[in-house]
Amino acid sequence: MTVSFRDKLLEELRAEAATVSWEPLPARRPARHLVTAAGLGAAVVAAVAVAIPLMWDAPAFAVVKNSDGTVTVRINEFVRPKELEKRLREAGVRAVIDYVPYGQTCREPRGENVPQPERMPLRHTEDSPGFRIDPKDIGPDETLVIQMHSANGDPAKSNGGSVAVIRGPVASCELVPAKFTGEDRE
Amino acid sequence: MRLKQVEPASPLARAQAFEAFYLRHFDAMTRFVARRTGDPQAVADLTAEVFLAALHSRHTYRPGRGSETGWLYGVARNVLSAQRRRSEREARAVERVVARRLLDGDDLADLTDRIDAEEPARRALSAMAGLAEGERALLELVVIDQLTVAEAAQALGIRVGTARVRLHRARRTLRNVPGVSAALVTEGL
Repeated sequence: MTVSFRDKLLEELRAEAATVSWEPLPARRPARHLVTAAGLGAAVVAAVAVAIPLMWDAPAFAVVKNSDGTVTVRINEFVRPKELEKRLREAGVRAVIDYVPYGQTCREPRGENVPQPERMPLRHTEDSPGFRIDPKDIGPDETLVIQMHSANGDPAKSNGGSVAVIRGPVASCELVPAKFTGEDRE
Repeated sequence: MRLKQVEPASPLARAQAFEAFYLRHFDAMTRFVARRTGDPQAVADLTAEVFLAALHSRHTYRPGRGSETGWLYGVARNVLSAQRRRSEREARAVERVVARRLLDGDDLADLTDRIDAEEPARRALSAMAGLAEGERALLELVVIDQLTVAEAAQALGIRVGTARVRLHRARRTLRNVPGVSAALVTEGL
């Protein structure tokens, strides 16, 4: 019996499928200019890796509510995450923020990830360092989960991080060694 | 805090699930391609390309955002329009690596049958050539490829409401074209 085109193509696709990464969701590389070589491709399972723009000569962080309902956030030092969470909550954004040591990451999954990037919760601001969050992008039962890799809170030694939106409960961050996974990119 | 494990909802989240996805859509995809090209080897090449593209862009499918059919037709349209833009030289390079080496005589006969079966659809497609691109693309997917309006809108990356408006406009235009089959212009198909 001859093998049909359908089955031969299935074989080809199976071989091709064996060469790609089947991580649950794509990890995007942080913007290159903000990433140290060692941190490239930090494993961000089921989340979108971002580089959060930083400012050097300002308070540790700033949360500003804009007239259009969005919230502008600037992080200058990776310190006092609980305080930042509180400030964000006051501005209408439920968030969980973890600053994790370099080479470590929070165990995944931390909850039910909301697919991205259709609902990309962070927008980079054109005119100033920092990023903008529209609270409307985050549903009532959803939480913005930001994880930044840092070295003793020093943003200069950061290698990016990840942002996710999780529906329902968010597991607290259990530190595990970061795996540096490859991505299949064309 | 205890968490219940969440199974990935996407039919493209696992290699095995991708195989099932391929088998679910193989027939529809070969027909989709056969409606747009008369050459069995090109049908084989393009079908292979569509599924390769689907494999490599599987992350772009969001189960919550529409059906896998709508998404796959979007991928397929991109593959076909890229193929139309490609130069001859590039096309030959693709041919070397893809599907025609997989074809034997039976496969050719089978694909030729599919191409013949899609002849009326190809005639209808050429009747629609005079429409504005956005309207034509939509009418193709809804009338020829039998997608729902929502799936076609997803394939084209437009809102369902926009799709309905365009579809209505396309049908109104075609009503005035002699020789267009009634099926093309019947509302509610």
